[in-house]
Amino acid sequence: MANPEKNFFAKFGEKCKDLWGKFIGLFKKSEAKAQAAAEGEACTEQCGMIGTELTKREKFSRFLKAEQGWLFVLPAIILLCIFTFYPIINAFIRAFQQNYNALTGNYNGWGFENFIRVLKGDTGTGGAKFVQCLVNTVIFTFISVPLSTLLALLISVALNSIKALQRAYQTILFLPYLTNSLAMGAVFATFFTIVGTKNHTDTIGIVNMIFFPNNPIDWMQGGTGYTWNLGAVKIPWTKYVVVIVYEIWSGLPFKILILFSSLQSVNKQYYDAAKIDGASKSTTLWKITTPLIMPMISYLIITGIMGGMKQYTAIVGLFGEQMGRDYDMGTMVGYIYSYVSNGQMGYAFAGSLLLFAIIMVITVINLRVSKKRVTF
Amino acid sequence: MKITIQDLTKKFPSRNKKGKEVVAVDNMNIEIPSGKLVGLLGPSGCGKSTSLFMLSGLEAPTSGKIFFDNQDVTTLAAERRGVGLVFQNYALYPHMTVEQNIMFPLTNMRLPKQEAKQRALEAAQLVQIEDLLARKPSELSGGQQQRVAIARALVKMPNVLLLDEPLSNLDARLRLQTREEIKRIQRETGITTVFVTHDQEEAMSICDIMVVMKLGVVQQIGDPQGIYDDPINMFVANFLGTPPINIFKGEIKCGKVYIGNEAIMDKNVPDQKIYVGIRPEGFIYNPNGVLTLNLDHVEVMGRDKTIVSVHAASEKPFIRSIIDSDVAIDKDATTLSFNVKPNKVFLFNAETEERIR
Amino acid sequence: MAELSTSLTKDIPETDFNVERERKKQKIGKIVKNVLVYFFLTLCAVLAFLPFYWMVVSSLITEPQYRSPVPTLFPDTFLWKNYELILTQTSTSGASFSQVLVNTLVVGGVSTILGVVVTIITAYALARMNFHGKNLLFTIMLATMMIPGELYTLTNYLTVSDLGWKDTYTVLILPFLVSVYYIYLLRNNFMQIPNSLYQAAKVDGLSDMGYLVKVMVPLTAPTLVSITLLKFIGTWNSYIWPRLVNKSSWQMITNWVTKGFTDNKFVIYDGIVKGVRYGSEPLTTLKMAAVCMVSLPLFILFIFCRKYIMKGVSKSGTKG
Repeated sequence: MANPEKNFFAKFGEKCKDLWGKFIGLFKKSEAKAQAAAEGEACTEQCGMIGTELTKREKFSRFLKAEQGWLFVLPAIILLCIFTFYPIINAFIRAFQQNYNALTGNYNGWGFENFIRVLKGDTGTGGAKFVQCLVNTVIFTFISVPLSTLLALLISVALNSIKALQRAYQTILFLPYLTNSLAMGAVFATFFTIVGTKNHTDTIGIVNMIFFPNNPIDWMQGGTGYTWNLGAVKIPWTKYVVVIVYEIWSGLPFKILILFSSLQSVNKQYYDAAKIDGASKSTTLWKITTPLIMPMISYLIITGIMGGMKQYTAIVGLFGEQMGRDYDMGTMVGYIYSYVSNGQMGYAFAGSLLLFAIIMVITVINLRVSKKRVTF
Repeated sequence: MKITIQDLTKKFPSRNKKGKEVVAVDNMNIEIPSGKLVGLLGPSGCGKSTSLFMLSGLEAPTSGKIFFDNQDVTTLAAERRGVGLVFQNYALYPHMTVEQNIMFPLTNMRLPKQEAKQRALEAAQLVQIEDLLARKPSELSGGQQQRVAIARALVKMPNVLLLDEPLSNLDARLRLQTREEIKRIQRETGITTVFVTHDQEEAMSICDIMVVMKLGVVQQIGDPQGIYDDPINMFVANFLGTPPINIFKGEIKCGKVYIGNEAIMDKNVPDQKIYVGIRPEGFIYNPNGVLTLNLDHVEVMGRDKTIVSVHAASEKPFIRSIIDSDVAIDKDATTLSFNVKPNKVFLFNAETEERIR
Repeated sequence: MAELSTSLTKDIPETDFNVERERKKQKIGKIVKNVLVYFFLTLCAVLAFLPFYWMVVSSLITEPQYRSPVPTLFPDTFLWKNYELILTQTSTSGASFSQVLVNTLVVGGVSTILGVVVTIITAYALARMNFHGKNLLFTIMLATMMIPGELYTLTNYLTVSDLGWKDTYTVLILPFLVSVYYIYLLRNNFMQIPNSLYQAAKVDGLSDMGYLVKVMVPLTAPTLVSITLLKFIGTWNSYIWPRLVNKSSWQMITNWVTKGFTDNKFVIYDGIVKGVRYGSEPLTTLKMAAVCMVSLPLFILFIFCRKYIMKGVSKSGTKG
């Protein structure tokens, strides 16, 4: 579990290079083969018909035999072509068409207008605002991912250091592993929601009961006094707290699972050596354990960031399909879908390409960093 | 620091639930004077490494006590015993440079950084790796890694230095060189040092005190030459010496030691079945000798020659006797006769394998 | 050299090695450490478990109980009527539980079975067969894994609209049937099976297809189980796509749970309590009952198939 090669993205990069090389090689090889065949020497050994000329029919059946792999991959390829390859190309085309109408297929001219409008926030009413969504997504991700990774590290180390009840704690801590984020979002919303009518408050929610019984905060609504304004961007921080608490909670089990198993695969001798060297528990944690499982930690952070940039359903679970008030809790993905539902597909396509670009940037940074990191 | 080991026992629970527990170390009693180099010697699985780990505090004994300078450290954890330990595969921290590895114990003692750096450098100089300080362990050869491990163990001036099979991962030439090195470092620092090995030659060559173990039980303690010259039982006699001792089935009849029907020497003890052990260097070539061996071949080594022969009563397929290279041997002879040096012949009871003195 | 070593030995004062003091420190340190560690773990375990507990408890109490200023953490009676209500009544959107459950099971079952079959044969061809352009194909497939799904969801939405597939099962099954990631996972698994086995099977007269079914599939069973489970869980949790393309009676169980649940026939909550006519507005206790209905199967699945799910997910780094 705990080796750097598990880092899928790093591996992927190498794989691509490797495959490209092979791909080129393949062409060269098949060229060479064809040449040899022309000279009437090739293949004869393989099929055991030494010295006989091949009839056209035999050639054809040999071709079928050699290429029957295509038959196996055909169903997958057809589906991928319709639902993956074509849509990707289509997205690149549509994003540059101005005023594309999904119903009629009409558009007037090409250009960057969609992107400019998206980035400027000049996309009419009814949809989300791009900068707001970007800021939301980035803040949610870059607060919750490091925090939950750190917490997961501490929990895994604690879990790894005990003997009694280890299995019991492990089971409980893994429980939130498989959840429906919409359902659990709804549960978390009840922790923070004040329920009641204008005149009469029924319950102030369990969080307020514990921490702010006298001056309950309306976490789920935010509103004036609980919102910071950064230019056009609103930061309803009470709602941010709700999202971040939820994301930490839901991100923990997977991270604990990965870190706990990589801790268990660390050679015990390093701990013994640290004991001999008189290292305290915290020194061992920060100077020995953490660096040793650093590949796993950075893998978690990267996948966490990737997942964070694509978050959507959890926010819907917490704040409903409108993602708060006028999409003020919108995310990048939420931005895209907000323009699907109001029919302005051009903005949706442009937004999805921007999301793609952001994810590519993160991937490239990760490839760079992971190459440097894996030195020992 | 003086080390006293009292009735030390370690039992491991058996792998399958109902099986018996395994006794790794059984009732060990040793006193190690301060400043000595002690070797724990025995075949694999004899409990020598377990003993070492109990000394380090990484392994808790089942019963018995360990004293450092008359202070009971039995329940003290490894990080508080102030011992240095060189692991068999060195266990250098892969993410730290050599310097950081060596400094690590010092930073844990909260030494100021400048002083720690200075002392790490001195320790590196002691093991002659001061040029490698900036490297990572993965960039070092086995021998260099081993030196780093020793420097890391030594740098905090441990109460006791422990080495677990320190030479087993090195190639033959490096092994010879490094064992001299260990001896030198131990002399220079004067730290009480205990090391574990299964290689008797290694132990013999550098130890002040040697402890021979078998199946968790200490067989004999003493200086290497003393043990070699006066083994307490057949196991010890067999374990020490290259080529190993020759063992014959024999018998004592009327105060004489018989191998086959040849009486090789006198021994004034009651008649009994015995094993006769003769060191390879205990043979004297003599055409009229008391013991006749069937010659197989002769190996010429330069300084001396080894006569490889067979005998019906021998416990091993071949008998090896080393004689001076000047002594002329007829290579085509079928049998050769020898006299034996009485101080190189050891007699053991056939059942207990204890020495008959 | 000798000089250096003397400095090493002499600079340091003879260690004041005091066992009693060290032992005392060790004892205190051990106790403190244990107390801290167990306190920390217990706190985390409670917080990890709390939402589940809260969800179940809230679904078993009455709405007035839920809204009382003192939260009910240990109900003395269980009110199963909340469940009765949500299972029989339709939600505010008009979809009934039985309808979405059937939808989910049909779509989940068909797309899981078809998806696994397609994954197996594709992975097999990519791992074991030789044909021109195989590596190019595989490279392109891998490259699409980097692209966020939203990018093609948009066009797929337009495509299925054009095809007139809206409000059908087909639209829920076909577009996401093939997962490049699962193909990649299984292909790697297939590649690990030694080639000699293939040759042995050929000698024994097994066809390619026979080899695949009789040798490779059994050997990679753990991975296949993981893929099957993850595929089904993915369908169970799918939300965005069904919401986009289908009206609520054709949607999935997760779509159902996001709707409000009222007691508009006043089965449980009749009359006005504290000035509120509970039945007509969305009720939290009913919602929690619905949330339990969606979460419970996942919970059971996790308990029984933990090993396989963890194996599959820990490789992918994403949830189902």
